[in-house]
Amino acid sequence: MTLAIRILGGLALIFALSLPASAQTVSYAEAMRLFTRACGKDVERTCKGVSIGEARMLNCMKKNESKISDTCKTTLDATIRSLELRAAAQEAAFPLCEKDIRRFCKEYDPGNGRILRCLLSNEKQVSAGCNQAITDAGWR
Amino acid sequence: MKTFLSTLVAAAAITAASVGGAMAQASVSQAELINNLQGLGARSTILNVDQLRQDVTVKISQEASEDVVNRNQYLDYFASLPNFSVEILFDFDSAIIKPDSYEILGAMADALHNPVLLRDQFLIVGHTDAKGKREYNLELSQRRADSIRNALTTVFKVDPARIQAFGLGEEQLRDPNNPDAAVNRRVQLLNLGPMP
Repeated sequence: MTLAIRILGGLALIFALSLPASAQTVSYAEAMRLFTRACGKDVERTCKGVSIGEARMLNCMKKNESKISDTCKTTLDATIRSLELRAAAQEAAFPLCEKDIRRFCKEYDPGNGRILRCLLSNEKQVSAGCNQAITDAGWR
Repeated sequence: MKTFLSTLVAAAAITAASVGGAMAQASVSQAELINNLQGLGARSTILNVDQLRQDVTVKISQEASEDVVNRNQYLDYFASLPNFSVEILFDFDSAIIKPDSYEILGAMADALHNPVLLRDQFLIVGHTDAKGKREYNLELSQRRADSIRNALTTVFKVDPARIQAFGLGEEQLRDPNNPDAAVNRRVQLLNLGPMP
């Protein structure tokens, strides 16, 4: 783990902790389900033919905010935030569990989720911070 | 067949048991994806997708009519890898993914980001039904597979080094007796094993 990633992870955590409790992370699937429910029609109307890749569709929707429904407007911002939060939480998770991994999961080789399974099976002993990080990453 | 197999270098024996391949559906859970996609262990499959593409194009040009489509075993090789099929909806004749399929893209990303699969590489294979010309379907399915790869690696931040995209057109129909059936239009996600 490079220092840069650790710092990034730390910053992501600070960012995550500074948010209200209501800003819990959700899966990408859930974020997109909520988005499509609120904005699916607006996408077809306002940004038809715009690819979702490289955030083109999200940018198009943002640019045309005056043309989209109020529900969608709120959901659009929430979606962008959800995607960022989940990515940050996943980036931060292993750095935040580093001590716990050294303590409880030293003998496990990384890969195929072995370290994660070890942390999950030691949930009672694992630090609260690490447990929360696993939850926020959506890996429970 | 021979040239094709030469492009498929399996680092170890291929498991005969096919897993996954559930029917296309509107939504799919992360757990379902992970359960079907895991399990290759330490074996890596090295694929030369460009070569694969070229071989399929040659195959199409050699088979004179739409009716002479040989089911080649090499395509069945894909079915032997841990795989999962999803249905992704596109605009007509286009690689634009419909909003109704954003959730499935999200679920695919959730699975790919899970530590269980985090070290593995994947191949996205796009399939069409048999309506229209084979060459055209090959090209459209490639653009669609690229479009899915692009969404996963940008919006959902999956490492681009982990995913390749390959359009197979109508060359591997799921239901050869009903070549125009919707069941043939699908996207397969294949686990190629750990990153080399």
